[in-house]
Amino acid sequence: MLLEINHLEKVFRTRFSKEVTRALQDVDFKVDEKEFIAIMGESGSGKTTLLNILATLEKPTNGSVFLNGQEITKIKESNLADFRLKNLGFVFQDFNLLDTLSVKDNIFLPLVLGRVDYQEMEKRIAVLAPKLHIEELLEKRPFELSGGQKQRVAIARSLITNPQLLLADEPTAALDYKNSEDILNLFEEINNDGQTLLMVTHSANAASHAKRVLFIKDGRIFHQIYRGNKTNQEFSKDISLAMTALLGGE
Amino acid sequence: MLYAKLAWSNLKKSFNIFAPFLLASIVLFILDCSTLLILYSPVSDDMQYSNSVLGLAIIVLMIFTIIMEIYSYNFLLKQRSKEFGLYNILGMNRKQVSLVSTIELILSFIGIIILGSVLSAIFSQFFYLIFVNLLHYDKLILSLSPVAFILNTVAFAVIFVLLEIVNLITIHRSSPLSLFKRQEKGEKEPRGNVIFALLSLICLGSGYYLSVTSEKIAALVVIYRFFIAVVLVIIGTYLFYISFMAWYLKHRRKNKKYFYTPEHFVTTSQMIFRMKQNAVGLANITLLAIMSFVAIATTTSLYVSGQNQLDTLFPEQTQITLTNYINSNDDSKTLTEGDFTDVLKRQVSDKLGKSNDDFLTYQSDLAAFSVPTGKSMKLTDNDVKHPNVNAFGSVYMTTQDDFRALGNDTPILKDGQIAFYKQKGDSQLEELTLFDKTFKNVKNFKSATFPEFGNSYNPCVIIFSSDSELTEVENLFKAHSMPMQENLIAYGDLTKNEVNQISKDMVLPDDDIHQEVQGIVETKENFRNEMYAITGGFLFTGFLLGLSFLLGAALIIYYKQLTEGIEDKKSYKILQEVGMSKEAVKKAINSQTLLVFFMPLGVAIVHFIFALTMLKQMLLLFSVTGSSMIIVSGITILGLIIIYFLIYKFTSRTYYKAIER
Repeated sequence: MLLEINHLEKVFRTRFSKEVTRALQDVDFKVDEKEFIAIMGESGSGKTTLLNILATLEKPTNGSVFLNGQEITKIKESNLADFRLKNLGFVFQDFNLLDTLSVKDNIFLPLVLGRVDYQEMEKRIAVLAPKLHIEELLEKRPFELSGGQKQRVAIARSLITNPQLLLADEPTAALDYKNSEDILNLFEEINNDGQTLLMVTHSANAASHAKRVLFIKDGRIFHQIYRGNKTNQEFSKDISLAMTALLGGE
Repeated sequence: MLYAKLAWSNLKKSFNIFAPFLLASIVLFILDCSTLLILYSPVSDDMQYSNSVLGLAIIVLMIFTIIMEIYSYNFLLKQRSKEFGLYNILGMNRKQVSLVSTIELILSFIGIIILGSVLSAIFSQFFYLIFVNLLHYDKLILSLSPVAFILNTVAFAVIFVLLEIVNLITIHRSSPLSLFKRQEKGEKEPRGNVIFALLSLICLGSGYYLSVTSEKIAALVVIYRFFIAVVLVIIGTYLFYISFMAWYLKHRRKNKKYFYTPEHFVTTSQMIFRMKQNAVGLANITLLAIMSFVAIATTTSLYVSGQNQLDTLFPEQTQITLTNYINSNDDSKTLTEGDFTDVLKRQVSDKLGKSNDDFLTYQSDLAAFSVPTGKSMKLTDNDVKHPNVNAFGSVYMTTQDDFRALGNDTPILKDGQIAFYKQKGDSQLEELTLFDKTFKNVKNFKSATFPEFGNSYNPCVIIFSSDSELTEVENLFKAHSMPMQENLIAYGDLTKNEVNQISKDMVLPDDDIHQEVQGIVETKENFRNEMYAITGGFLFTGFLLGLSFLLGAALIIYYKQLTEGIEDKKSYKILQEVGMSKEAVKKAINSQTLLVFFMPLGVAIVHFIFALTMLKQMLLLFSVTGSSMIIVSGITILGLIIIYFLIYKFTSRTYYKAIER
């Protein structure tokens, strides 16, 4: 068991008002090693809050999260950055690359922060770059790249630390169809190599690349379906059906 | 009417965007207006020197105002480009957008004129008090001249017409799309050209060299050198920020061990881009800071050293100078010290019922030729025809008895022997030939008292053994057509009445020896007043300009912090998400702002330290000597660092706020 989420609850209170928003209620699921999970939901469903808690960027109101047996919601504020650096990888919707750094240095960023030896950095990128087809891009600067290229670089950055868990927040939302497919296929490849992935998305197509899809609405996990031996297309259809049935109809 | 309403509500709603521009405008208005008010007040009729110094100040201030206003307004326009784009998309054409922004400008102008005038009326009283205090002047109320207000309003109207032109050009050039486009178009790395980087060091180095090597050069030549050095350093400073820093940072980045550490990775890579965007801004801040240093330090030195100068010039309250001009082509003849003391007795002592012994008297002949340097020097006819301006100075001549009477420990001189003292540089003189006669120098004074040094250009004094030998030299000079002044100086403590009594007759020729012996009476008090009128005016102007420059620097810094804060916000968010701790982010921000902020100050201080040698030499023209300059400079720099630091504290809040927003 890699990730264990127990009865997670997140309540937002607006200041000067008694109004209470329940972003998450009794969220409870487990993730095995080498899984590829998609969490699907509309905007406002609580999926981003869930991701933020898993990313240790937010603390839950109640409940617990264990990563490899470590209770991550109890980690001290001062150790959080270090924890993220060593255990988690992030891929964002808008890539979040620094324009002031070259592509290569962007990928090195987490390693530099973790004080990894420069030779080791070079070794790791030599393995990673061909896999992600970014060898030609390394000396360029982010603003010279297309959206798909940028996302591949961002994925390289998230993988270079060999994280236990890769978290992706709508990774294809800013990309066109072809680039989206490229990235999602890449995710599948990475997953086949043994990387555990957790992706948040509202796109049925994106979710169809995962092995398991969790549906979230109003802060609750409603339903989950497994891919099994289905093709992407079949799985995508199932997901759409589930969406209409479970989430769409009020 | 709609447009006026829109303009008015814009001003109200976006007040925090307009505020820096309005504040800068009002402060500049007050500075200009107050200076004009003092210039047009009755006091300046009495103060001829200060008047012209203030006139210069107002010209510099106006130029400065124009530059700062355009800079500040440009920044305002940049911030508002999105708003203009929105109007454009909502269906207003360029003409209408221009109209709204013109009305805004007019409203700002009216506000600035009204508020500025009222505040000027208040603050000018305060400035005036400082002014008259420095000048030791007795009329303490400033009458407000309407001319000053009108002139300043006209000047600002002209400036705002310039701003309107800037405004129209900006709006005309923009298209709705470009206005809306995100600023993040990805900038190329600065080149960091090695040649320019080298050139910057060469420029700075040669500027510094010119200053450091000017110690033994005559003040007039130093002024000429100073301008070359200033130009070199200005070019060097711009190139330093534009090329050298980029080159240096990129060079650092190549060092993998240095670069790939959390401490340097983010800061260095961001600084490379900072340097590109801000090179000119940083150079401007540096130059404003150094201008501020120079203006305040030199004028303060001038003012402070006035007292020293006064004490050197006036061992006692009253100075009486009897002068006999000697030229070759008239029948003037040289006088002995005895002749002079006779005149003093008849014209002064007898009239006041005193004796010559009541005065400290000494002979002090003055000629102007090359001040001896090295071990020997020969004065020849050629020097009379073609004086060497570079080594030129005031050469005083006196006798050993007189020199001793001034309180100088002088060895006994025999005939043919002299002693020598010069203000500038260590004298090595062993032999001095004045036309046909050669003297052995037996002593080079390291320091000595000679009152005239207090207001002479590059002075030195030759001490002869006796009156007869001095007369011989006088005759030699006359024979070789070398003009000289024979002087007898007498110091005494006279009352006001006594001074009045003798000064009526003093300028008359003394009939008994058929010579045009002229007498001048000068009192310490009178001299002090005149001096304060000059140096006080300088000091006031120095502070006025110095503080204005610092204000300009502060404004640029404020805008820089604001823009950078907005730009950096995203970077720091990304860094935190990737796994940089909050403390590390804060540290990186801190080291970056500190560097960007204090680099100009550091560079300015280095410039200033190198400039000190030159400034000291030039101030010798105004008889500012000794260490007062260094002490004053030290205090000035310290004071300005504190002000600068306060600006930093204040503006870095803007930066953090922008980042946290």
